[in-house]
This record gives sequence, C-alpha cells and structure tokens, in this order.
Amino acid sequence: MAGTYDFLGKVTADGSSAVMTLSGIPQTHQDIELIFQAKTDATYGASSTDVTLNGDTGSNYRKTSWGINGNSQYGEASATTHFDINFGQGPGINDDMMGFLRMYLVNYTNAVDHPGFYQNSSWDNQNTGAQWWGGVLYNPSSSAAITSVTWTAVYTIEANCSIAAYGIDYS
Amino acid sequence: MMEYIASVQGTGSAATLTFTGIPNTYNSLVMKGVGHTTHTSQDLAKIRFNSDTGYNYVSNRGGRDGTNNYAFQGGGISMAPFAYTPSASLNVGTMLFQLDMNIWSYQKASTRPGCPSFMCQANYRHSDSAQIGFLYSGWYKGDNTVDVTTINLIMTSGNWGSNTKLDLYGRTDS
Repeated sequence: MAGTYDFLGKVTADGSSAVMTLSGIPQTHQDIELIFQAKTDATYGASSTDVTLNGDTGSNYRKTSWGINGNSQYGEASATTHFDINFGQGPGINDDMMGFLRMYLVNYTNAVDHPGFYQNSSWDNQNTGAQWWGGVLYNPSSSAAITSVTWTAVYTIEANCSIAAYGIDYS
Repeated sequence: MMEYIASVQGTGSAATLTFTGIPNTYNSLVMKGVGHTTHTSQDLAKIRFNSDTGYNYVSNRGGRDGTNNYAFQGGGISMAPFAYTPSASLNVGTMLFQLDMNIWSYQKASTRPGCPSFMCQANYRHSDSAQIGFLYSGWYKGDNTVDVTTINLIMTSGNWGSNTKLDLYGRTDS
C-alpha cells in the first residue's frame, strides 16, 4: 500500500476555556501527526502549555529539545507529567502570532513506547520570538493506544484555535 | 490529507518565485524542497505574503554555522528570512539547501485568529568543514483581514538557481 496521510479529527476552541481536548482518535494508522494552533485573546505574551495524552498525568513524558529565544540558544531535557511546550500558546496583544506546535508520534496505536519529535514556535510580542525542535517519548506504565490529546494553557484559548490529527501509513 | 497545491522552479534568471491562488481551506500549509542561488557567495532567501512590501514582518532565526553559534531577531522588516542558500559554485549534489516549512494562520483573522506565520529548518553544507543548520520563524503583521493567497520567495542578491524546486502542500481541515 502506498503511504497515506489522512485527516483523523479536529477540535476547535470556543473561547471560554484554557483547555482543549481532541478525543476519539481512531486507531486506523501507524503514526500520528498532531497540529496545535493556539493563542489567547487576553493581553498577555506567549505562555507555556502542557500537552498530555489519554488524560495521563503520570510521570511518563520525556522530552529533549534545542531552541532559540530572542538572541540566545538553549537546550533542555525533561521527564515529567506532561510535555511542557515552552512558548506553546501565542500572545493576545493586538493580533500577534498564533502559537504553533507540530508533534509526530510513531506507533500511536497499542504500544508501551510512543517516540516522536516536535517543533513549535510563538512570539511573546512583536519583538521577541522563540522556536524549539526536539524529540519526545510518551512511555505509559503499560501498553496503551493514544486516543486523546489535551492542550492545557495558562490563559483562555481564543475561539477558532484548534487541534487537528492526521494519520500516516507508510507500508 | 496532505494535498499537493503547486510547485515553483528556479530558472537562474528570476530573483522571486511566487505561489498564487492558494486556497484558504486548509488547516495549514507545508513547503518542502531544495534550492540555491546564482550569487557568487552565500545568499539569504526571504518570504513575503500577498506581495506586501511594507515593513510588516518579524523574524527570528538561529543555529550553527561551522563552529559558530548564532541567534538573531528583528521586527519591522520588509520580508522575513527563511533560508541561507549556497552559492553558484556549490550548487551541486547535497550543496542544495533543503527546506521543510510549516505555514499557519494564513486565513483571515475572522476565520483563524493570529497573523500569518511560518517556521522552518533549512540546512546546507558549504565546505568540507562547515555546515549551516538554522531554525527560522516569523510572522506577518500587515493586513490581517484578508486571506494569504500569494507567497513570494525572494533571493536577496542573486537569482534562484535552476536546480531550485519548492513544493507547496495543504493539510486538509476536515
């Protein structure tokens, strides 16, 4: 079978919550790509965001990354209860940049190890931007399929922001 | 799905390559490809939206060039950098820069809040001992009431070399 890249589902924010969850992800493909687009409409700069899978808040998330914030480079590694996406959610000052996160996970169906990679970018205001690129591993305590993903922000998510999921088959 | 939209090809005689008629129906866009400049030294490729030449762009980029680390940012510029490109003398084989770009919020703000934005990686090897690997991001703070239907890719000093080819795709939104 030729490789495929198919739309699996989407959730859109209504502007009343700091949390978005895409649930009911069908187990029809091998890999999954998640596209997060989120900003606040409040007068704050960019903010960190937590990404969790299956509602799991155990210490099952590992991430390493390299990135740029303004005129400096940074590297970081974490093992904690969520994927901490630095500069994940975009600001609400004027109509500034929408935060963007692309996360690709291998073997999102039933497995213990769900490795992948991510890239994200947002800007604090019209002067300071950040972007990150790195690897991730979701490693639940027992074998599990990824059926939902949750974006938890510090500030209310503006209406029409979204999480979209795409399934990839490569063989 | 990931739908193919269009491709642009360098000719050696044009400094700007342009995608036009981009539908506003996608979740986000993906641009992939390779490129190089006809300039006699390294060149910097930049992006514009809807051919807006105003000082409406902000840019952040950084990475490693040989043994040196760099990070830059700037606002109020008339186009945003998205790749360093190898010179004409290096335009063979892996000397082409390779690009993987995401573009989002390209729909007008009433449909998708925020401003048209992009991030990408673009890398190339410019000598036996030096590799440029950079991340780039930027956004457009011009007229946010209209869709982005045109993307201009501009070589700063030279022209796009004939081995340049960039493909534009859209992630479907339903």
